[in-house]
Amino acid sequence: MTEIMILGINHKTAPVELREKLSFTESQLTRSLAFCKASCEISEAIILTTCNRTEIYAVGAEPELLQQKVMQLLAEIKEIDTAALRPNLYIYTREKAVEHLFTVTAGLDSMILGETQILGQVKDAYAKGKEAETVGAVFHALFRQAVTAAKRVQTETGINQNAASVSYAAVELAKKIFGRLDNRTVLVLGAGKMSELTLRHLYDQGVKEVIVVNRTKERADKLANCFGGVAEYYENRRECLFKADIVISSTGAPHFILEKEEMAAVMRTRRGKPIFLIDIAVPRDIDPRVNELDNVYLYDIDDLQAVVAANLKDRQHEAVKARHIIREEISHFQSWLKTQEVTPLIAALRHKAETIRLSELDVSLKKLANLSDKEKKHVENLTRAIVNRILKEPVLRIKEFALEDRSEVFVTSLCQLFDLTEELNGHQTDLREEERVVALAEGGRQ
Amino acid sequence: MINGEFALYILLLCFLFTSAVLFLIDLLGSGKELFVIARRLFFLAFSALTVLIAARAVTYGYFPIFTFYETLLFLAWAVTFVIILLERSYGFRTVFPFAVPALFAVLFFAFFISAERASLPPEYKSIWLFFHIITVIAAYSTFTVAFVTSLMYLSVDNQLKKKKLSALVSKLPSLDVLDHYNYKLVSIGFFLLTISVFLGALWAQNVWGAFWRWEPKEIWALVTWIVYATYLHTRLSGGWQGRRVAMLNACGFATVLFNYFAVRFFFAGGLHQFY
Repeated sequence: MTEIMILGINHKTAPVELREKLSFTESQLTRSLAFCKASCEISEAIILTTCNRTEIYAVGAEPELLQQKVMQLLAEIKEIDTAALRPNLYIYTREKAVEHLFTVTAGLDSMILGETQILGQVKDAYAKGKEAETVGAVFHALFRQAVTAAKRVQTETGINQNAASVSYAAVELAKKIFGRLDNRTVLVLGAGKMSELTLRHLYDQGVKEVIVVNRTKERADKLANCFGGVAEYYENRRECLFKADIVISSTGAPHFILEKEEMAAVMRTRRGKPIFLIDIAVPRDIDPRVNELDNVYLYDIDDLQAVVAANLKDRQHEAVKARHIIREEISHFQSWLKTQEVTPLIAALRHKAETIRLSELDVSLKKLANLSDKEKKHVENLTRAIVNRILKEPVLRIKEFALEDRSEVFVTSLCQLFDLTEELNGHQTDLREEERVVALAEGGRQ
Repeated sequence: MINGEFALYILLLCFLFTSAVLFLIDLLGSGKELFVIARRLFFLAFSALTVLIAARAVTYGYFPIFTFYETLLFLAWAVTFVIILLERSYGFRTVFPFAVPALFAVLFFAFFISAERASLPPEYKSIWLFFHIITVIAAYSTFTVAFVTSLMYLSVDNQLKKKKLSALVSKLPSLDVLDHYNYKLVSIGFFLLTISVFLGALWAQNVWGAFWRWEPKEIWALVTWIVYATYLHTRLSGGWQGRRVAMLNACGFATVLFNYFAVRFFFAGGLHQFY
């Protein structure tokens, strides 16, 4: 019986101080995986550690022992009292554990719903486990299916389509207006922290030019230098408005620094060329009536937050679709896992039949010594064909019943009918090794 | 009506209708496969239309652009050609769900008007006249697609101003791209329209001895020409941009529609009586 379990904490169950304490460093991770490899209770292990979560995935034969061992691992490596941690920990087993991994990988358990960074982190965790040789057939199949599910969620739902933060929302709006941003000029009015963040996102999209205007020229210079831009005097802002396509405004001015009349004049000199004004100052820098002008798109901080809120609502909507996909993919994995439970039985049955076939063939061929090589080959093929034909139906049935959770009866009755106890016990260890090889070969083909 | 034309036309309408519905579902949902199927059906519709026009040409022995019915068919063909070109060359996919339903409407309308062969006086069989008609229909087809991009521009602009972007608008191209398509299409259309007017005048001079007769069609063509000339002028001189230009383009298309559909009913007769 293989038992999958997961033990972990995340941003929902623990404050950041605790998450920091449980986060694994590179060397701790290596030591933990080595610990799992050495332990006989844990047959497979993968450790996922990010700034929002630390999760240990493990496979073992005995649920109780497995959990104890994982707790022991945590206590040893992190040198903490695990009993005190108990209220912040969550432990899932079997279907629950599987569902948890799928949900996490698809970004549905993330702080920002639907984010895709976690997928890379899960892949990394899997690679580390593989490197440390703590990944077997079960985790190979499980993680591969989880990654498939996450990719499907990304392509088949719009969960990650819209911006989930104010600065990203600003970038998306800019793209909606200008398409590509690489031939655009950004003007920053007021060199604050928030404007720097928004500027960075725009800069990452490869804007052509950055102009910074600030009351104190030194700060403008500093920010401009960071982005290979130019600093301008506050008095020249009107000329800068003429040149800019995107304006980020966040001065500390107590009143509007840009009135509708002034902007109308700017638009005349711009000959109506579209301009995107992002006013993230509180109190606002730009007269909201400016938005009434043709080809001027003014967004203040509330507008941007409203866009983000609407996007997050959309994401929630898409998450429903995502859960459908996840359920489908989980059932794929579950069927695989269930047929996996009867593979030792099938192998034992095959082994038994093969042994009989070979011994009988040996006896017969000795008696039929005057047969040609070609004829011998035919006889051998005949025996093989008979065995395969006889076993074909029962093997299919066993797999079918396994999917319906009715394989127990078969295991016992087949064991007794064919006297398979010896085969089952004797080859258990070999089989595990065999499974691994098969799984690796499959992995190579993918 | 030629043999099998009716059946082919029904088939064409079925293809077009199904693909229009699928394009719209694809636009509102997010299944990628639907778009591919819809496009395939649209190509089938395009092929059916091409066969229809070719069959008429072969049967009647003239290129079928000499009756109202025939010009509608050819207009639909030209619009189809333009949007396929836009999708193939620039990946402008969202043009389909907007243009294909309109195409269906045009062909559905054409289905109910006379499909008789043209009976033209001998002087109408002139290469000048042929190119006059071809170029004006080509111009109208680019104006039609330009109008679609203008509508898209106005809806994106409107939602950006209102600060509420619907899922539909978020799938449309950016204002900059829409504006670019619009400009290119109108430029080509204007060029074709100008040539068409000249060819028509030359032909009229040849046959009737006058370049210009102030017929309703001619007057409205002049109005159309002036509106699009204004559009291009304001763009090039840089006086207007963005929203207002898009609205001007919509006005230009309104004159095209009026000239093409209304003038023939209100002011029948004259040299353009066949259109």
